[in-house]
Amino acid sequence: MARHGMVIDLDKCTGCRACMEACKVENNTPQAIFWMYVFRFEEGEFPDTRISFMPRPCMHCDNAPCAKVCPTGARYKRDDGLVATDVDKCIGCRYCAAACPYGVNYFNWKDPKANHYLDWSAPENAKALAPATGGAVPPYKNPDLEGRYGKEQRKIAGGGHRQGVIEKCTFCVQRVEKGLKPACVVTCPVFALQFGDLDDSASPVSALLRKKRSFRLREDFGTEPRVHYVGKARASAGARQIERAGRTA
Amino acid sequence: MNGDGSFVRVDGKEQVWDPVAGTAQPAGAKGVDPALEGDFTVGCARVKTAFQLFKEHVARSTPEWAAQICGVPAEAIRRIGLDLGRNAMIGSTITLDGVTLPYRPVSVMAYHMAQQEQGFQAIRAMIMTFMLVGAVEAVGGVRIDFTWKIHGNHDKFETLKIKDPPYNLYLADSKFFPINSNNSGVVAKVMQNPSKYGVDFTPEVLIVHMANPLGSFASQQDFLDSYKKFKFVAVIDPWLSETADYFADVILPAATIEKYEGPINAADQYVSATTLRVPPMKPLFFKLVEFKQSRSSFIPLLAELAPEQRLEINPKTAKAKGVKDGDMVWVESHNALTGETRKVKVRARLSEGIRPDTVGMPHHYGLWTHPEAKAQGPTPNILFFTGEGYVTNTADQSFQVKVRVSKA
Repeated sequence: MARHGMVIDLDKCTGCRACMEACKVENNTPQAIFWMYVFRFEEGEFPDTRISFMPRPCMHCDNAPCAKVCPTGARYKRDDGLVATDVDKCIGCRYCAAACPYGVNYFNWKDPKANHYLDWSAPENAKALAPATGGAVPPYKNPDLEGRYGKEQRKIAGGGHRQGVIEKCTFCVQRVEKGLKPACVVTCPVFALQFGDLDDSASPVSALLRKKRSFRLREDFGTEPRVHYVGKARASAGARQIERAGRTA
Repeated sequence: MNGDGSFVRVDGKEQVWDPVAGTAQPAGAKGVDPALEGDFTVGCARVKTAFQLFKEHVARSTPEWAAQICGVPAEAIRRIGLDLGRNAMIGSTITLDGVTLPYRPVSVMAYHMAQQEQGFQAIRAMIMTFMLVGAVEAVGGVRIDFTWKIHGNHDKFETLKIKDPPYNLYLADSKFFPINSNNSGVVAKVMQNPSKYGVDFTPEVLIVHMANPLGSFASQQDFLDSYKKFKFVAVIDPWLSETADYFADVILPAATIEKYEGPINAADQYVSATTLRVPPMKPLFFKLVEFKQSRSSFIPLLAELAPEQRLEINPKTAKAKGVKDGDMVWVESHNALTGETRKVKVRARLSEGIRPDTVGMPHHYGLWTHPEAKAQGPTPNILFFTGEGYVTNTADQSFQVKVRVSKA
């Protein structure tokens, strides 16, 4: 069986954040929830300054601390390498968020419908919209997100945006099971994101890892992430985050 | 080239130096591989190749000299120059559809640069750099995607026509050169005081098509003051613009490009439309996603990435003013001619990426008609001035102005 992983080339990433938007469109995530987040860093002092970028999806760790602490088995590791969240099993304890060193878990404090990009259920919006949509209620939802996936047939795609439930990057399981690559990967205009079978030496991800020196985030924690970074354009320890996304920034 | 910079011509034809024959030959003569550098004697005159003259001209402009002016370290200028030169792959070719073409995969984005005070000169320097590596109109290189035409304001002085008043609203052929343009800011300026500019009428009707002068151009105050004078304003737009909100008597719907079925030309603002006239397809995100001017700040997905206007300020400058990252500040501009001041309140964002003597505000904000665009902060167009003292070479609007920053 394929063991999926991602390789991110920091020398290619321009920090455009198109991957963040592709993820939002594919997975219909509510406001302030970024399954893919691109950090923009600045370091040095004028005029010797440098900026760098770092896309951060879920690391889909082989030794996933989030899965270990989940009391209900909602968070689990699949045979193909994906770390999944069964929205029907999640009780919203947020242990996974506490255990994850990468900050990839997002909790739905609000009803995701109310926290979507426009509150379509507000009377003035619903009224204004009715003639254009023929009564259909946006936001548009990707129907694939409601499906059940894997041999376990569990509800693990983005369809589970519910209040009181945790969510995170799924590596676009609804696409991967169709043989497609995640939305962020296919959208990247400079091919900085690569996705494929890390156990197949002929895959593009394996080829890239052979070609360039790679590292993973906080390898010292022993989490064994399946997201690898290559390239020299890496922020140093003193870098400052700039241009944070999100309305509450 | 002669010593005075003019071409050496024989019978009206420009000459090149043939190093094999040791003589000057007409440019383009068959079998001649012209000398790139050197100085030679033609007739009794000492002449040089154009490249030689250019090389001598730019020899003074060292990275160290430029670093003094622009603040970019000399070593960084060298590194970028070498990067550009290497990546240009001078001499390389590419075969496309069976045609072999020069391949120079280096380019630069210069949109709006001409609308700075020294913008024309900056663009010229930029194009010359790309000419040196052969990247102008080469595959992968800089595109000048229209038939090159010198802007009227850069035509030879002796061809300028200066007529007596009355003038039209654009001040065409007027003594107010170079404040003569059909750009909206000049019209707004002239309309406020037509007699001052030798204009003997005030227009009564305005039709705005797919534009939002009140939000997009400088200065906002000039548009507020002048457009009030129109007796009738019609706005044709795909959405409710700020200009329509303030002034329109009639609003007519416009189709966006993917819905437009009619004949298309540049005057419709649908330039290059043929490339887009394909059936609607899955969304593609292929460019910098944040904003296109202020035309997308009401799109919630994009607005979340860059939610608010900011004043980018160097930390040293901010510290001297007691300003911390995230503080609200006043930014106040001053018109050196009239003494008028204008100010906006905006959030400061500290960045080492900006010069200590400069602050920056992006152009994407300041709309109010769309609920998603409200409260994103002000447009810098409030701060700018239009007209005398504040024009650029190619437009009526200067996108920079001297300001004072203080903690709000």
